[in-house]
Amino acid sequence: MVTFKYAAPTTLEDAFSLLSGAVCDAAPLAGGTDLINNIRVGAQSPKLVILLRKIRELSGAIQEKQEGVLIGALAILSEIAQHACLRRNFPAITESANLIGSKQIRNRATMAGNICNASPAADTVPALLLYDATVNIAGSNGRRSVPIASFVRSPNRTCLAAGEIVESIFVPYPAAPSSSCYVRFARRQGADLAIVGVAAFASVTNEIRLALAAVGPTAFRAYGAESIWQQGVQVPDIWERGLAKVVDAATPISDLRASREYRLALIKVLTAEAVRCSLNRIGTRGGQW
Amino acid sequence: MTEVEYVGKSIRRADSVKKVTGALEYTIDSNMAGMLHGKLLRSAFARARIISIDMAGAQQMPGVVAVLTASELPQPVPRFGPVIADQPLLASGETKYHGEPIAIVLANDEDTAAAAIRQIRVEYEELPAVCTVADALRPDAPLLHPGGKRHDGRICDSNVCGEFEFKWGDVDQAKRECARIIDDVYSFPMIHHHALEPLSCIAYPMDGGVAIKSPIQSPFILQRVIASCLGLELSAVRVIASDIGGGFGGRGYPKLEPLAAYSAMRTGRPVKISTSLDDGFFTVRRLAATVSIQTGFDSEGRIVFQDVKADFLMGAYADACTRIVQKAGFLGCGLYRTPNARIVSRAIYSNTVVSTACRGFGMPQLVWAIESQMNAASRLLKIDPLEIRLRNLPARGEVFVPGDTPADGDWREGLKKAAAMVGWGDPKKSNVGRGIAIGVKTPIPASVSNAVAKLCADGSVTVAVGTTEMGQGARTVFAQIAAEVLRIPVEQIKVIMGDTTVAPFDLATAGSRSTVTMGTAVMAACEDLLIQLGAIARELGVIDREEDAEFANATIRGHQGPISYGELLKQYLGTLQGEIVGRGMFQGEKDSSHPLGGLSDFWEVVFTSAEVEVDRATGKVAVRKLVNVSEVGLAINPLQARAQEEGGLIMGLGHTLMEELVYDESGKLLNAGPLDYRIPTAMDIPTIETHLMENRDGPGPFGAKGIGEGPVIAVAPAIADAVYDAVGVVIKDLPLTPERVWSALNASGRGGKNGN
Amino acid sequence: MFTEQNRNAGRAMVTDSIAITFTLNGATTSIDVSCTHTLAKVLREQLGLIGTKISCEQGECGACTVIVDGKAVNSCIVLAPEVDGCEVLTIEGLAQHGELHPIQTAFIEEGAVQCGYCTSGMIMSAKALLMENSDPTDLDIREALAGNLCRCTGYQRIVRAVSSAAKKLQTVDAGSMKG
Repeated sequence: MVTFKYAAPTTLEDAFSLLSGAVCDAAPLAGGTDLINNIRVGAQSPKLVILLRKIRELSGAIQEKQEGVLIGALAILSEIAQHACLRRNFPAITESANLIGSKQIRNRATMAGNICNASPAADTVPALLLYDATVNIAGSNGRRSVPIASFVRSPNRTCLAAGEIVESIFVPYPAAPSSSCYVRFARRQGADLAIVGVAAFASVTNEIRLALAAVGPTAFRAYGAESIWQQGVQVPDIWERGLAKVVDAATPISDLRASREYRLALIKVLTAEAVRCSLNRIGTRGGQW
Repeated sequence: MTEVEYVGKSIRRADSVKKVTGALEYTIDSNMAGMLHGKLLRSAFARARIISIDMAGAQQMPGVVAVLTASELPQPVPRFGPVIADQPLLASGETKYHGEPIAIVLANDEDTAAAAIRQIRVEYEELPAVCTVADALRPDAPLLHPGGKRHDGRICDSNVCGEFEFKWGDVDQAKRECARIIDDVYSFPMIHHHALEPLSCIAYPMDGGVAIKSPIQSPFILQRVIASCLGLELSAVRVIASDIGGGFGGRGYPKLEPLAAYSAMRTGRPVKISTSLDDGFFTVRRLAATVSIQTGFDSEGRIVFQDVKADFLMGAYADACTRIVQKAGFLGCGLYRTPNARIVSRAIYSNTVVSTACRGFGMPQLVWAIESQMNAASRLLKIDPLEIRLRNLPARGEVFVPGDTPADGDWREGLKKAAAMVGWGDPKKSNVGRGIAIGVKTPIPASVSNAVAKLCADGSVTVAVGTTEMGQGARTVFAQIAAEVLRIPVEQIKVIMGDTTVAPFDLATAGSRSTVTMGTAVMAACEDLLIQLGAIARELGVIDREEDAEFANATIRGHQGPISYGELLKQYLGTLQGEIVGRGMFQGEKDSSHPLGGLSDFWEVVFTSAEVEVDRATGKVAVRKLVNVSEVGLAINPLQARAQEEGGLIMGLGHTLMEELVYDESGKLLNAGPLDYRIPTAMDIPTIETHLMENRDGPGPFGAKGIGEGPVIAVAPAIADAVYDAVGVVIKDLPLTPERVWSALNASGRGGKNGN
Repeated sequence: MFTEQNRNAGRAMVTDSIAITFTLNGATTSIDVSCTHTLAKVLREQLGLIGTKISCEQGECGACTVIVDGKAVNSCIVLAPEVDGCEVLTIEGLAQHGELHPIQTAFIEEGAVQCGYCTSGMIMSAKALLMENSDPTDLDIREALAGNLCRCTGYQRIVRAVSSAAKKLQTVDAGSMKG
């Protein structure tokens, strides 16, 4: 194991001073499911690992607020996946959380950590994009909030500046009754990474939203398709045109796990499945397309 | 014979409590006082000249005792290997595969050793590598072992390490006359054993020699190889095999032990080399294969000839590959009547990780081709896949491989049973299909197993065998056999395994042989004890004649009633003054006219059937049911036998649907490790049903045959034909990943939506 | 904002090794650990509890599964200092007074043990599942075990063993067995 030092601050202030302290190269530790292995293989070599779990301002709680749900930085994926209010109101979020890794991973990994790691295949990001979630950031210069769409910048890069950490993620309730769904394709049924992940949202006001993971440098919303589908997603011609927009917006690569062509094909299949599922959930029949 | 008390019963495993409480100590859990920790630096390239190695940073670290590279070893660098001693302790001059050990750091603790490894700087000159059969056979291909010895003793002038030909009848004549010939090529990928226990070993100096503790399947092979490599006498090498955390053939032959042994002797201290799961990917794999096969059929679907060219892709060093390729080639026609045959099997070097024995020993690769051909014939001739096989299966007693053991089972019944269990012929929904295939393998011919049984002064018994326990349940099976013969409760039998100083010679724990060979030796050793007890009883006047000896409940019946074994020994030897020792041996019949040196002791035969559902849109194959029928003669422990079947099926499911080692053109292994080499999880398994055919027709104790490898052998063709049955595509390369099936569906215009 | 005092407070907390106190198999345990050591390493090498096995060391195989604060985790990717103040349960803590836990017994009876290397982790994942869900479906069990790789058994018997143990535990008096 590479040598590093360790600190377990109890306040954000202490944490910031450590993060911006002289020696650093410091890495914040929440769930550790990415960090610890990255250190082992040399992908990350922090001089200092800072435990976040004892910081009193940080929380693992999932709080139901007036306007939406506030997910604390330390909230673990297994609790997010099982949270009744989140499941009812934001099924895509809980479904995506439930598909990450294994039970053991979900019992440590945090959603905040998942978005900070910013893998192109990060499962929670498309679901958060559907709901225009906000990422609440704290740093030595104060706090700021950033829409999730601006938070993830490029593979493994976020907009966090040196010394900043995610404090919480806020997911606002949609204006109208709605539901959503997350589907993904992987190489096996058990713990795996997404080859393609699709999150879909449908509301009783005929709004459809769509976001995809693992088919671009970051997850993204398919706004072009969404505006076409506003005209009637279940009309075959409108559906096809929208679907073509989704495929156009995707830039999948060929890698060890799948080829570009296969990913493009999967996008169509999963998009149909996700949208159909969301429509079914709000009580609209899926249609013949 | 009196009623059987232990054999044929599902007695609880002897080691189960230790395993469920975490108390069992595997090699990686073991430590010794004064032990050095060894960590390996592995080559970053497949084939590269090592220009320089800068060890200064590592050597200077406090706690580092030695840093060794090939230059620090005796010259020429010692090499090891069970057949051809070609693998150097550390890469010498040129690396031959990505991940080959180049240096070892020996330090006082593991953290220091691991940190020191990171300090070593190697300068390489990368060279072109060959990683496929085609590349390795190019006339201008770089040679892995120029000037080295081939299997047949000739000098290597290509990358062919061994070449074997088997033939009978007249294939060329048969070809000329045959109207229905199926000619195709099938490929089987590189697979990793993926045992869960990481490879490790501990070596320590001992009496002018060395002792090694290792999860080695075959301790006597390790003993021989280390003695040869280090120039020691056999008696100066002690191997103590621990319980193995998953063998599958990958722990059959020496890997890191020779280096550990050398390091221990050099430093005078115990040396432990421990690794993690990822390292296994840079240590062993299964042979890959490309099989070109022409099969001729008559109008009834009966095989007229087989012309098989099997090219097996080895890794960089020979290990046991020539043996695998020869043995599998010999069975290159599978389990069918084949009037005319020609099989050429070759073992070809490449700059990839060393390949070694793997469950099935070359048969999964060949059966993939043979059974795929049967499926192709079934399509061409419009004969049901079950029916066409029934027409070609030999009957009991029939010779189907000339010069070898006749068919020793009711194979048609087994095949029909597997078909019935999967619902063959039942109505099915669209996109659902069924397939069936036959797997075959044989154990090691002309092999030897010895056992010793000691009856202690108090009547308890130890049985010492060279067989090792890797989860297959040998420990329990031998205890059951001993208990049955000796009429002693099975709890009073202790089986001591895998210690070359304690146990007499056993060839190997491999080839599904141990129940038959070592089981027979154990039986004989226990019978020897009974004979001695009878002689003692007669001498003491307890019985009149040895022929009259009656054993029951750990007693011998004498004139005045039953006397316990312990009491008898006390009377004969004096109070607690000794024990009696029984010896037993199994010697497989040698036959120098047979290409493999002897006939098969038995045929390990399985019938595997599958039902699948295919998603046309994604190509995903969902296996709904997987069935296996095994010809086992008699299951000494039915629970353990079924458990082996289930495990073998899922291991086969892995290479059928998802497993494949991927090398790039430069020879870099791209998916070493569980992150990108995916094996089935509990979420990926179908319903599994197994059936043991027990006709008590095996040569082993109480009519037993062997089991263990069969279930992995025929899974792929059974599932592939089920896929064809479901959606009409034929795929000749494994694994049947969703993408591969999807591509085949699109190419044939059968892709798209699933619904009607 | 940050005063010199705060900066010093921050630096004072930075350390190579740390004293931690946690409950291990029901007993309060206080030890000094190196901050770079994982929980798996500390359990195995410092505390001599070899029942927790290591294999992949990257959180992919589950062989090292232990239970921390009621949840199954891969101890190979938990740093030892992280369990300060936590409740840790390892395989060694299951059997009580020499009596096997019903999950352990079920594994034996169903033939769910072969080489045994995955067994500790499997049993701990099963234990964590049954602590949360006393009546799991087949699918619940498979999901809970999806992060525990086995190469020997084919999983079917393991799933059956967990199911059987769940039924056994349901019929046992809640007061006499913590489940």
